[in-house]
Amino acid sequence: MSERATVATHGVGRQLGMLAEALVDSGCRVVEFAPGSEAEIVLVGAGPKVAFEGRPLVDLTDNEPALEPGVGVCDAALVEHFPEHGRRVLSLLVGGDDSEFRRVESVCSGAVRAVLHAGTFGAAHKSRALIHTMYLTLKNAAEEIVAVAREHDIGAAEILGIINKSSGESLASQALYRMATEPAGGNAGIHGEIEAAMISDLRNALDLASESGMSGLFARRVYDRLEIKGRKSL
Amino acid sequence: MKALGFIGLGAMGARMARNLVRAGHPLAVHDVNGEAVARAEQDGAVGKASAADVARAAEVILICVPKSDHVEQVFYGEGGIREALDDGKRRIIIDCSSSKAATSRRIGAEMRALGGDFLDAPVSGGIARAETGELAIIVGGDQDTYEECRPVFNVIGANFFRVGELGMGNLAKALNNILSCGNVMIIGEALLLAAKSGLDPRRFADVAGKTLGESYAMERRVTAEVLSGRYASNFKMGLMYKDLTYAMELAAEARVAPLVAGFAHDVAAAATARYGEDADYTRTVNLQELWETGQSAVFGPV
Repeated sequence: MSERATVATHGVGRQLGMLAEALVDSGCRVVEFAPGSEAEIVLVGAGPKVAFEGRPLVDLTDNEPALEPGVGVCDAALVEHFPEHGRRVLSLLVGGDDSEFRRVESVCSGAVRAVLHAGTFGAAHKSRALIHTMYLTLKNAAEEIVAVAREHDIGAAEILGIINKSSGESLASQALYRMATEPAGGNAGIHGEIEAAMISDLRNALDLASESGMSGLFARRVYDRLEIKGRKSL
Repeated sequence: MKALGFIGLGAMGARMARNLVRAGHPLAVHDVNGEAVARAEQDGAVGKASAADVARAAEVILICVPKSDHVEQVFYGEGGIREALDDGKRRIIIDCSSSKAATSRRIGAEMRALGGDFLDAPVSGGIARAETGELAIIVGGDQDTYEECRPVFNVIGANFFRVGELGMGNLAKALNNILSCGNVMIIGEALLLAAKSGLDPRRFADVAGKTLGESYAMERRVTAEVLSGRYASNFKMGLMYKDLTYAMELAAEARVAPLVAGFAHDVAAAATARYGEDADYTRTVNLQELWETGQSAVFGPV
């Protein structure tokens, strides 16, 4: 269906831009939302509120959902994998009921690696924030190990090569291995962007933790470290 | 084929020994547990009364015991390997235990002085890969001795890494184990945050495991052991704490202050005190839940 689908967009945002680009690459027709225009779904980013005429809406704002939950409304969030050959690799999380999820899946499945049902409205944004927080924490743990190994005369590629064939393996350790062994080339800019988005989500996740009375003790250490490095303002 | 010896027939060692017998190696074995020796004899090994007796019968002696102290006991203790080494024969010890680099260097130096050699060769992959002969083996020691022992390694393992001289295998293994244990705790914390934020932790684990949370810890530990309620990874809390303590010593030697790994060590210490050394190490998430929420709702009661 995605090859023939028409998707409308409203507003702006990094997430909205990335998904729109991926949809175009997969053969979808992507247009700006206008009253009376035809579209299977409307992707909504940051921007002024308008009347969407009862169209199925996908809230793709970068941080928290901006729309109110309701019939035909779901939230969605992109998770970026390690880029391949300078191209973004995306998975799309969707928060909404089953029928809303299936609608988004049918339109977007050709544009991303996977469309995953995260739960009810709002679950996509929360899940992405927590996934990014978990990934950053796993990555920081692996970076610590590399630092210790170096001081004991074991190189980054060597220790990460072992870890990646062992029980300490994660996508974070695999990404670090690739960064240690492959020239960054066209991926360098994407890495920086991904990390900036993750740090923003780490902050959101710690806010979620505080609201629910939790500390998030591992994640908070990573945030503190990034603060020390002056990177959390990214 | 070389005559082999095997000392330490626990959950890992028994399976590694069985694979060596099945590959056709003559194998002398010893364990403090007589029943373990009897089971190995049923597989075709020859039981011996002491580590020294194993050494007398073998050209290559494999050791697989829990801690550095046990390795030292196997070598220097009463009835230990050292008692059998004055006959002028060349022998090689392959220590598959996860012990300390200093232990490997001390015993290795003594073996070399006697005309033999020593490889520290800790293994990774758990019981499942020990059973199938697909362990990852991280080797420290002389390159030529490593090559000489490759036919033995090929029977018990599938991925091999020689990282440097004596002790370097144990050092690299300890660093891997920080992540092996720490990753479970990090993912456990994310699941707790998910639950407290109103998400279904199982659905979150599934979604995360298909995106950036994909990892050995997520698939083989959190999903398979924690969320299933099995808590049966067959890796004991006390051994995890031992490994993390050693890793923190290495970090201190390197003058690195690991914030994440350091906290993982603290969690391991408290969890070992609370649940005991014999509890499965994945139980650490239970303590994290108690600390964070005061309840046992997500990961269940202990």
